[in-house]
Amino acid sequence: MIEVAQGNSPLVLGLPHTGTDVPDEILASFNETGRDLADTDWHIHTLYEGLVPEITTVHTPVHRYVIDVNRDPGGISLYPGENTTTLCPLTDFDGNGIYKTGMEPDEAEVASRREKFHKPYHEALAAELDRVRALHGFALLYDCHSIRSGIPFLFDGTLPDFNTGTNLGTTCDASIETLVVERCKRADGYTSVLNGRFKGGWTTRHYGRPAEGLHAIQMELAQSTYCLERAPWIWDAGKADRLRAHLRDIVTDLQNWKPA
Amino acid sequence: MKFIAFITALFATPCFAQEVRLTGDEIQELLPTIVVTGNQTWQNFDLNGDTRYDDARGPSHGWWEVRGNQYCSAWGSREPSYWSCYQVWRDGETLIWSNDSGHRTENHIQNRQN
Repeated sequence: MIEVAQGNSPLVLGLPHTGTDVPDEILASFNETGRDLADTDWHIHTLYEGLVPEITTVHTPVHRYVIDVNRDPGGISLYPGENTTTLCPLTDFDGNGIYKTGMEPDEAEVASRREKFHKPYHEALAAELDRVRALHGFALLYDCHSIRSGIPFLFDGTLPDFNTGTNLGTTCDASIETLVVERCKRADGYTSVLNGRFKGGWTTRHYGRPAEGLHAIQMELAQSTYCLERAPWIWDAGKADRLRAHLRDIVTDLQNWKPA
Repeated sequence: MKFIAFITALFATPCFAQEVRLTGDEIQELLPTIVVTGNQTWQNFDLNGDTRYDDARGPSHGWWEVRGNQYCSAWGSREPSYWSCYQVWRDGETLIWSNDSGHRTENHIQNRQN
């Protein structure tokens, strides 16, 4: 189920939210809002496809509404005190319910989805990080995300284009953070922020253990940088190609990074 | 998610009756004479292979060329890995760019005023 493409560089790309598969029995429990799958990280796998050789990618085809593999499997909130979505989200990013009344998953269903979808993704991701760390002595996880640039339920105003998350500098070597931040700053016409509204999800925080040679960094892109921010979420070739040039620079820098 | 997959495929495949795929020669001849506009975007193509793209983020300068029957462009660098190529289709005053991933972008054609 989990799609892995192996490369031999130390860089691993996580693609947790680009899948649109929903098992039929779960789809039947979604209301119209849920069936829209609006909170997909649309086209992200295409955006990073073929940027540089020898990168490992780990991708789940299952949609985040089924279970969010970028949330703590124990259900602990990613952003305590702030609006956010949960392990098996009951709402979309606008705060609207995604299930038909009375058809929300109970504890047993959440446990089942955790076993079927969350666990295999992280087993695959952990295995790939271990594999490339064995080759190089370290591994670098770059977790790929995107989101609409305006979601009042989650944040005020317009989101910057590049949102880098290192959980306040704790998930990777400082020089990795600097490489990414500098590339984002140099991207003419684009806005960027470090550890703003998005500081890195559970994946980044869980695997980011620099002392063990495991470095993790999250990139949340504003979808306005490459696609229509409403259904049918059409890819904008002109915007996407310009963005891909910057992403290629970032990923190349990360692939060439070595510990001091 | 069969419905979403169907809709995505529908938008990704230039299979509508009026759409005609342009040859390399036709792309080479057409692009320098037009400006293409999209969702608050604007792009022109110079004969010398320069291209300029404008959107809310401001102008970007890149390069374009025809390879076989495809339009290719690069932004930021002309290194080989920076180039992306597209089939080009035309339906009246609509230009459609379609890549190998199945993504399809529609732009409106305007005459270029030099």
